[in-house]
Amino acid sequence: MGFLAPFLRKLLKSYTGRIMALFPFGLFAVLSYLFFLLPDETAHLVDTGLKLLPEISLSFRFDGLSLIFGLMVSGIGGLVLGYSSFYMAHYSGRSKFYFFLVLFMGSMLGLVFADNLIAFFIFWELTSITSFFLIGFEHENEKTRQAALQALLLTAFGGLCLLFAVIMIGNMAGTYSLTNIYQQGFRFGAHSNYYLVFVLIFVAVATKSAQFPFHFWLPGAMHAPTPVSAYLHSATMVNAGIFLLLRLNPIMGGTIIWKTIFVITGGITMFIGAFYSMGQKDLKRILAFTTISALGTMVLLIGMNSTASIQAALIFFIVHGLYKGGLFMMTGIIDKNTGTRDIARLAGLLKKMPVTSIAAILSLLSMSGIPPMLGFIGKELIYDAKIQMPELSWLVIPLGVASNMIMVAISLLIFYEIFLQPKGKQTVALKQPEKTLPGNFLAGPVTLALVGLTLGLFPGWLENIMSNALYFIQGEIVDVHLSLWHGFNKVLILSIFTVAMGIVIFLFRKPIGSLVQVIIRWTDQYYLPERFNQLIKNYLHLAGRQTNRIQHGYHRYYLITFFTITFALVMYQLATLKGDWIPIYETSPIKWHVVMVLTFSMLAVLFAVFTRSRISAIIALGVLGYGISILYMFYGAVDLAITQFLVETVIMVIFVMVIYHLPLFATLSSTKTRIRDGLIAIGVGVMVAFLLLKARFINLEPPISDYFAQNSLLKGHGRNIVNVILVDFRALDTLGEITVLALAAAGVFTLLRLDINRKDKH
Amino acid sequence: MRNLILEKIATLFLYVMIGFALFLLLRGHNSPGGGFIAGILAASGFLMYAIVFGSEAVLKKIVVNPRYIIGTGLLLSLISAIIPIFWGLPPMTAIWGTLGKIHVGTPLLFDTGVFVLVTGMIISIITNIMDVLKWNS
Repeated sequence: MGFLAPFLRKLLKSYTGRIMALFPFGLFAVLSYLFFLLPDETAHLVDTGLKLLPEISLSFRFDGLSLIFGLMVSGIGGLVLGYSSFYMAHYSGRSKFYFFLVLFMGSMLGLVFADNLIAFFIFWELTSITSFFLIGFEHENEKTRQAALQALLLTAFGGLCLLFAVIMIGNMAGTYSLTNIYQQGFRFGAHSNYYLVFVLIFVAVATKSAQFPFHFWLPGAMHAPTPVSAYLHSATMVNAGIFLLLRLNPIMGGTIIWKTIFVITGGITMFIGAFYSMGQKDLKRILAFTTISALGTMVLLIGMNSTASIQAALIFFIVHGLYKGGLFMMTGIIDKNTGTRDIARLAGLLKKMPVTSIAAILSLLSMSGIPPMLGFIGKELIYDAKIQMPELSWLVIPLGVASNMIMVAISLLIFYEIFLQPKGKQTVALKQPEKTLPGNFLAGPVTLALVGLTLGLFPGWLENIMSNALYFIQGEIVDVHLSLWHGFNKVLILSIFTVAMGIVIFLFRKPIGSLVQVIIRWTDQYYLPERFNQLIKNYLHLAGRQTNRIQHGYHRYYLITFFTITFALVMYQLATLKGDWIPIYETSPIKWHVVMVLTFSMLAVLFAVFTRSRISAIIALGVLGYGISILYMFYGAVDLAITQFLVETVIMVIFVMVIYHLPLFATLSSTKTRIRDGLIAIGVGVMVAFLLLKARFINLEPPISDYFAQNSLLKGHGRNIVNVILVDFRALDTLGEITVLALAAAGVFTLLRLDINRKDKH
Repeated sequence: MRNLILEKIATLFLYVMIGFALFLLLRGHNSPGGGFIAGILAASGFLMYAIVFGSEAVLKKIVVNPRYIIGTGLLLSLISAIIPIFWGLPPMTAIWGTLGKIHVGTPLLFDTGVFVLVTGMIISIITNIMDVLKWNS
């Protein structure tokens, strides 16, 4: 799909985003159909029959978990595409934007539905790469480039860890298919490799989902265009780590290390994210830090690993996707329409942009967990799950309540500063009234807010799919019951307390804000992005020094090193081999025409060595080349002979062309170096001669040429064995070779063009 | 200085070489020939043409930038490598069909890719070298 984007864009002009949005919506419709059909304890497995390698099939798995994620990815994806058709209207390089956005969407969907672990890994890496291009979309800006590179380096590092982990899991389970692994009931908590796999998975998840201490790339990633941020934060990318945890939970969850590590990391991330968001002024940065907090919450919940907590994590994922997508798009609208995202400068938008504001307020309500939004149910479930964990509740409840209080305070702050009209703040001028904004631009936040509201009022719609998802995550049948009103109990008291404290924090925002500023300034000494950059820089410096030592750039010394070392190694190996050297018993009668060709060739070589003119040296070498190709002819290798002839000719012509422009022949090297070079040359010649003699007596494997000769016509449909080998039996080699050729052409091109451009400048 | 006879010969030589290269490419599977040889042969036609008329003329003759020719060649070979996946076979498996009495299959596409790439590569290198040397311009 993505590959079509640039072509489609030329066709559709400014409608691209809107038209392309139809595809994810179509997918969304299909998925929702599946969503209502899915019975409680089954998973659909769609085998596409495509195989990348024998072990790696591209089959897709549809169960509750992947459907929840898939619906979010495709639904929000469609809205984002429609949204960006207006947002991106004045950017250059829109084709590229749609190309990567759709590709990103596709790889995220692939990741969610992949049944094969290796395929899962491939899609995981694809999301990293495409998000790199999306984050770095405005690549003229240096900060953007840095942020994109940082995100790529971190997530790619995590991806590498994931690859190792996946291979180890596959080896232990004997299959890479998730369905098979689930069916075997495979668990390896007691396996000796468990800790290694766990660490690898932890790094993969922590880098992808921006967990402490890798959380710093996410705020940087908000240099991306707003539609991308909305998509990245709400349903894709960062949630891939969450998805991985949920997928692996039945295989490796529930151990003590799983619980402690994920609960602690999640808790710290949750709190840090919420805390930092208080000190920000940029609307997008505030939202980015609240995302970190939300991701921390999800990791914490999965780490707790009780049925209630997994259920809470799933609901919270939906909640978070809905409100965060909406809020980011709202930010984009405000940014487009007023020219600023600074909350200190925005005010009184409720009157001026009522539709956006109401949608945003609904999303903010969901974020702070106030009824009747779905966010309320999510928060209730989280508290409930936390209370049910007696051994951990002393830690997770205070942290959770504190972060939620901050969420409430932040929501209030945004609401108060932006939408109301605080005293002493000037209203900002709109670039165009809200009524004139196109519908698809406003549709995103409005739809998401309304969905959040509807699901909050009728949470029963989610029960079916939740219990299916939980069946596969926890391995037990759970009767999910969701409702807005749980009765008056401990959870509700906690909620009321949270909201109240949130209001208190909001009222005292000035002193608390300055306190937060002080702390943030103090921690800035250990500013992680800077540290990371420093680390990379040092590493590059070290690598550069090493390279300079080995790669000195003198062609002749490379050749000397190469030839002498090869000579030494091969001669040593030959000396240790026993056996005959000269094939006495099968000397064939001497053919005089061969001798003649050889004599001519040898004379040509001698001439080339001792001549004082470049042109004649080249021509002498050409004679040698033709001599060799004639030899090929005598021994029946016609293809080889033709190739040698042609290559020799082309090279000669190019040589002559170049040499024509070189200065006259001059002896620049001293006699000493000439003798040294001569010795090396003779040595290598002797080595090759010995090697050829010896090669006749060494047979490590039965020769494969018989197979080729027999099967060329049968399987390859060709009588010319050489060509059948090239294009069929050994096509991979040929593909590699022509790729090298293409690269060589690119190398020649850049080298020579650089030279031409430099000359033109002078 | 223009040399009319040489120019005529070079033009004729170019077409003959391209025709002969195509012939070698198509028969390559059964008799000596094949994509690589055909590529060099076609390129040698262009080489002669370039020597006589200069690199600009060659670039005008082939219309598209040689870089795109190289890319097209690589793409063709890759496509022929990927096609078998859609039949559920491992990549690069040869698929054969018959066109009348002739067998046609993905290896031919692969070989065509090699041919196009080699031609493009040599043309690209020649024209670049000539630009550096300011040959005929």
